Order: sequence, then C-alpha cells, then structure tokens
Amino acid sequence: MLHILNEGNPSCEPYDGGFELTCDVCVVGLGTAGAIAAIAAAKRGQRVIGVDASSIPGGVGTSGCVWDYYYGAYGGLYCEINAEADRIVAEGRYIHSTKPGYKLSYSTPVKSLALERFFERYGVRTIYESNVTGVLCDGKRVVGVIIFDGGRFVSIGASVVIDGAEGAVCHLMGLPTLGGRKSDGKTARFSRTVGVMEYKRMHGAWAFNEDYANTTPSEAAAMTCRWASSHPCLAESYTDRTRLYAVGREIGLREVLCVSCERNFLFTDYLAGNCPENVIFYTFSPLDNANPDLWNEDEDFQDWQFLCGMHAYGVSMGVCPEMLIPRGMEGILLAGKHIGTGHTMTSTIRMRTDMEKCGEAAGVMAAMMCEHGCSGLTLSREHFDELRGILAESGCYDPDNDRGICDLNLPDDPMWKPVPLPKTAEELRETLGSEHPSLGLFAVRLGLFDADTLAGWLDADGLLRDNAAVALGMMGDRRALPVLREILAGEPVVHIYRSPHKYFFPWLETTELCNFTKAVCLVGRLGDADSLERLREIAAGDDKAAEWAKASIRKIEQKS
Amino acid sequence: MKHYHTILIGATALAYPIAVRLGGDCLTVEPGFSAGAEFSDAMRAEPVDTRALPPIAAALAAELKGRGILSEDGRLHILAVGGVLCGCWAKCGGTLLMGARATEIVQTGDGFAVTVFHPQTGFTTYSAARVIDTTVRDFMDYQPTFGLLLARDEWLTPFDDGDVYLQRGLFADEFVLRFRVPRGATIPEAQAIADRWLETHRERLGSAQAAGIALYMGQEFRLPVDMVRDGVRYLTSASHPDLMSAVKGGELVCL
Repeated sequence: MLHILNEGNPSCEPYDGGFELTCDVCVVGLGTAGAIAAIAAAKRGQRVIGVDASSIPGGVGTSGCVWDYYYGAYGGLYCEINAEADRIVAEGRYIHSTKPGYKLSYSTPVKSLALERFFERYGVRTIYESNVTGVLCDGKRVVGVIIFDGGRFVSIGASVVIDGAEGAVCHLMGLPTLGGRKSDGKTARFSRTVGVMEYKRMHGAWAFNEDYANTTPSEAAAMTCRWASSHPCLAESYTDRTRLYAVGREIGLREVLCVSCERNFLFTDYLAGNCPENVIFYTFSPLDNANPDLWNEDEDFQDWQFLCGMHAYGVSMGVCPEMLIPRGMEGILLAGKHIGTGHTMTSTIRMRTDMEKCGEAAGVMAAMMCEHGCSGLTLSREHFDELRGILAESGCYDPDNDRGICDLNLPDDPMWKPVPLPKTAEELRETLGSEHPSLGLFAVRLGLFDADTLAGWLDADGLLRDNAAVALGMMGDRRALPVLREILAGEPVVHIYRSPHKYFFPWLETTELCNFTKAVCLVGRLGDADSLERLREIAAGDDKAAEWAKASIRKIEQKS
Repeated sequence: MKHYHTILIGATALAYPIAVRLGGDCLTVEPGFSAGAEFSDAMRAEPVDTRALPPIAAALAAELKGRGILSEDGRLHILAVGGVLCGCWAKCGGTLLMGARATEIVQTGDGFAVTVFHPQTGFTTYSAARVIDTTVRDFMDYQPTFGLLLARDEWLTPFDDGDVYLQRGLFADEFVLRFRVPRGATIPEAQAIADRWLETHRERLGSAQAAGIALYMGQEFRLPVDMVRDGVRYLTSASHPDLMSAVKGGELVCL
C-alpha cells in the first residue's frame, strides 16, 4: 500500500508499481543524524541510498550554518568524519570556523566535503533536491518510499527505511506524535543562522524566532520570509567588517514533533527515575528553554528551569533502541530530534555529537536488522549485546558518558564534571541556606527528602526559610503558604549568582534567585485564593512577575 | 479545489515583480526556503546596471543601495540579496509556499490543475488560469556554473580561464570563483571539482581561502528564456545576465 497525504489527510491506496531502485537501507534526510546513519549502515556492507531535499548533506550543521559543537557527549563514528574535516582545514584552502579556546566548529564547505568523501568511500548513493512524497508498506512493515526529484517520481525499495527527515516519513503515514507543550501545543522557537567573521574565524549568528510546528504552510513561509529579512539574517547596513560569509538555507528547528515510539522517555520519566536500562548511547545537554513564556510551559519543566533554577546544569540521557522505533511499525527507524522523547526531553538530543550518535545507532541497527533478517524490536531483545558492542567500538556507546547532572560553568576536560546532589538533611540545609540552592531544590523535586524536614525550617531566618518554602510549595505542601504570602507581601529581591568558574557562554554566567516570582508561581499552583488580591496588584505590572501572576490567577480561578 | 488566477513556480528575482503586479490572486510555489536563490544562493555576483529601471526594480535597487548591498558602480554583496527579497515577498501580497514543489501541471478546459507537494500537507491540487514557471528546467539549453566564495586581504585580478573565472563582489576582500561544470553535476560533485582546482592552483589565489559554497547551481544562458510549452509560460529568472536584469524582466514582461 502507498501512504500519502492529501491536503493534510492521511490516505492509503494500493500500489503495484514495483521499485525503480532497490537497496538494503534507504535514509530519508541526510542531515546531522541521517548522514551518519547512511555512512554507518554502508560501513557495515549494506547498500545504502540517501535522499535529501537540500543540495548538500549535513542539514542544519552545514547548509543551516549551525557549525559549532558546544555541549553533547563525546565519541562515535562522527570522530572519523571530523578527522577528515580536520585534514581538509589543515590543507589551508578553507577558512577556519573554530575560535581559539572554543569547541569544534566546521564550516559548510569543510563538513559537507568530509561527509561526501565518506559517502564515496563506503558507496552511499545520494539523491539530492528530492522530497519523500509517499511511503510503501506491507501491512505494518515499511518496504520503501516514493520520492519526487523535481522532475518525476522515483520508487525506492528498502529492507529498512531510516527517517532522518525530522519525522517527514512518519508524518506521511499519519503516525502519532507526542505533541508540544500541554498548554497550547507550542514547540521551541526556531532560528535562522548566517555566517559572519570575527577574529579571522567564521561563526554563526542567530536569534530566536517563533514556533514553527504549529503553522500552516503559507504561515510558515510568511514567517520564514519575515525572519530572513530581520536581524541577524539581514542587517540595516553592511560594511566590510559586518558582511555575510554564509546564509543558512535550512531552517534551524530546535524541536520537531517527536514520533510516538516503542519506548517514550519523557521528562516526567526522567524525574521519576524511570530511565532506560538497555542504553546504546548517552546524550548531554542542558534542557533548552527556547520559549520566553515559561509560565505557559509544562509544570515539570517550570520546576527544573525556574523553581529549581537548573538552567546552568546539563543532564545525561540514556537512549535505548526502542526510542528509535515508531510504535507498532516494522522496517523503519528514526534518526534525529524526533525520537521518542517528547517536548521537554527532546532538547537533550539536539546537540551535534548526540544527533550524530543517534544517526550512528540507527545506521548500525538498520544494518543489523538486514544482517539478521529481523525487526528492530527483535534486534533489541535478541541481539542487544552485539549491538552495544559495535557501538562501543566506535565510542558511540560509552558508559562514562552517563554524567548525571553537571555544572556547565565548570571547565570540562574533556567532559563536564558531575555534581552531587545533597544527600543528608545537613547538606540540604546548607544548600538551601545559600545563594546557590539549585541542587538542593532539585533534590527535593526528585523526592529525595521528605516534606517534614523542610517544614522544620520554615521558622529559620533568611534564605533557608524562603528556599524551604519554595521547596515545600513545589511539593504541593500547603504548609509553605504563610511564608510564600509573606514573600509576596514584600518587594521583589533578586540575588545574582555570578559563577566563579570559567564559562563559555554568557547565559550561564548569572542566575537570578528571585523567590518573589517563585512565590507568585507557587501560590497559583496551591490554589491560594487568599493571595488573589496581591496577585492582581502584581499582574498590573509589565514584567515577568506580572505574567506569572496572570497565570496563577487563572489557576486559582479554575480551581475555585 | 482552491483557485488562483496565476500560479508562479519559483520565488525568483523575476517572479517578485510579477507577484507585486498580480497582487493577492497569485500563488507562488518555491522549493527552497529563500527568495532569489538563483542569484543569491547561487552566488551569482555579476555587476548590475541600475540606470533607467522601472519602479519596482528601482525600489529594490534603492533598498539594496541603502543597506550597503549594492554599490554605485553596480557591484553586489550577493549573499545579502536573498534576505532583502524575502522581506519584499513578505509584503507583496499573494500566497507563498516554501519547501514546496509542483509535481504535476495539467491543462484543463479553462486553465490548469497544478498539484503541489508540501511536506506538511502532502499533495494539494489548485486550479489556475495561468501558470508561469520562472525556474530552470532540464529541457533548457544552459551551462551550469558553481560558485565558491573567497575571502582575501589583497586584491585579486578577475580572470576567465574558460572553465574557471573570478568575479569581484562588493567588498574589497569578496570574490566569487565560478566553475563551469558538466550538465547533471550535483552541488557536491561541483564542490569536488572546485576543491581539486583549489588544490592545484594555489599560486593563482595567494592567501585567498574559501569561505563558503553556493548551495544552488548557477546557469549561463545565451538569451533570456521567454517561451510557452504545453500551455505553461517559461520566464526563466536565471536566464537573465544579472539580478537587476531579471527583476526588470519580470516587471516589463507583457503578461
């Protein structure tokens, strides 16, 4: 059967046209993850055809001008491609894009040339400037795709199809997705990047744009044009110092709708400690707050980002094979941001090294599915040790990459250093009594301490009392209310935490400890009608506290 | 089936003034995510003549000059042109689809049925009284060219060696090396040709290094294309010798 979309509606019709091309693995989307998937499968001797809508491989990491590696866990096949890129740069024909003292970066021509050399080395056949327009299935098993190459339709038969196109293949089949945030379905804002020059090195300049996933095609085009003609993509004027060196042709989507997979690992699972055990690679990243209206985000993310103040910390996520397998389907794997993680957790996969690991894992899985003649689920259940062993050889799987929580302000050598959460009441008391309560608050959020311990500190002085009230309120304990109301009655007090450590990016330098705004949030969650009058006063302002107050008023009025 | 009076294929430099002239009853189908890609993304930095331009082209030239993208002697900072054209498209009225491809154009009794594929919605068929294709098609006669953006601190004398020629951009260190490549070459294949040339001709370029590659193939045509085939009018933007010629062509063409 051929699965297509007609005016947005999934449609299914009989197909008896045969295949013009055949292969073992067809990779749709040769972006950051898909390109590595194609190489990984071909390296294991599979016949691979790769298809991409763009004119070069590498996706956002090449034609999107997102050149830098900043966070992410280390190790994997991508290191071989990057070594080739290093050789190209060393030959002196291309401008460097790695700033001294910064992490790796490869410009568009360097990385695309390196990828193409690996395609050629392992015999990956590529078809560019082509879109996948239909998916061929035998029941629940994907057996191929139809693409449009700008002039005609071409059918490609494959034992395994890898969807590296941000879920485009799954979308054509109408497979369910995990959605954006609960309040309004929005996803993280996209960016459009351009290449500029600084200190004789090229680097990408970008700005946060808008939610892309919830637009119609014409709205998306209008938005694309709007942002392509705004700073930094288009300047008011150009000089030889400010001129462009590259323009990102790909839209930099931070989040796409994740496909519902055989295993979905959501942020709520992470908080509950319900983590995969059969891990094939680890990722490392902060949870990205790309949307400015945190008061509309899911509450568990509000807890992490705002109430606990964890934006300067990164987390490791373990990915298992089932997170790459669309639920109920065979013959198809995912490679990229759209694996089974969901709105909040998806930001932990988006770093370049982790996307490349995801691609490698998908490519190896696809190759092994062909070798063993089995489904992805069977591969995971019966050949897991072999799979993990192959990924361990390249460094894609490395148990040392399970870093837990790391302070991103601490210098990394070569990876960021894990920081321990408070384990005893005394350690918690010390943390909550300081201007750096984040890890203590998060330990409470994980359920490592009981409410009575915290309630005992509500009579203490200063920050210990206030932070204990925030922690209790986050647990939903109404004993926090008297202190929270007292904080609300006062003036906003903001503590600025300046990291004493070396840092790479300015947004990690400071964090605001503002229990006033936290109290605004928490009285709403606790449904405290006695705080309504004060909240309405705060809501009359024009700052973030006002927005939080409006959200809290809505919550209290809904509860009553 | 939604109806438009005109469907334009390609958000090209030539299509832009046509879209302005036609206003709201016009659908433009663009396979990429930029406007004027046949010049900007192809890095076609041919100097332009801004004398005696019609109004829409003159306004575009004025904006380009005002932003320091076009010099008085007609040289372009070509990479910035796409952003300006995107801004123009955002204001011109009509409907634009990006990342979309026209997969089938069928003549009907009173016009055309055009099927468009978009990754989000799949196939949608529109009716139109007229279809104007402003993109390059395989049946056309042209020489493909591939652009490589160079940056260099010192002057490079423009040259033309037949297969390779050097164009000067607007800024002192801005040059585009253009390669005439075989028909059917992909961008990666063209990049490989360019890379091999760079390796063997370092002495020609001195300290110049490659900053970027064209993500869109350029084309050299003998004459601007204006033809009708199977009822579709082909007004090929890239067949014009330079950016402003294409815009002027779209503004002056008799519709």
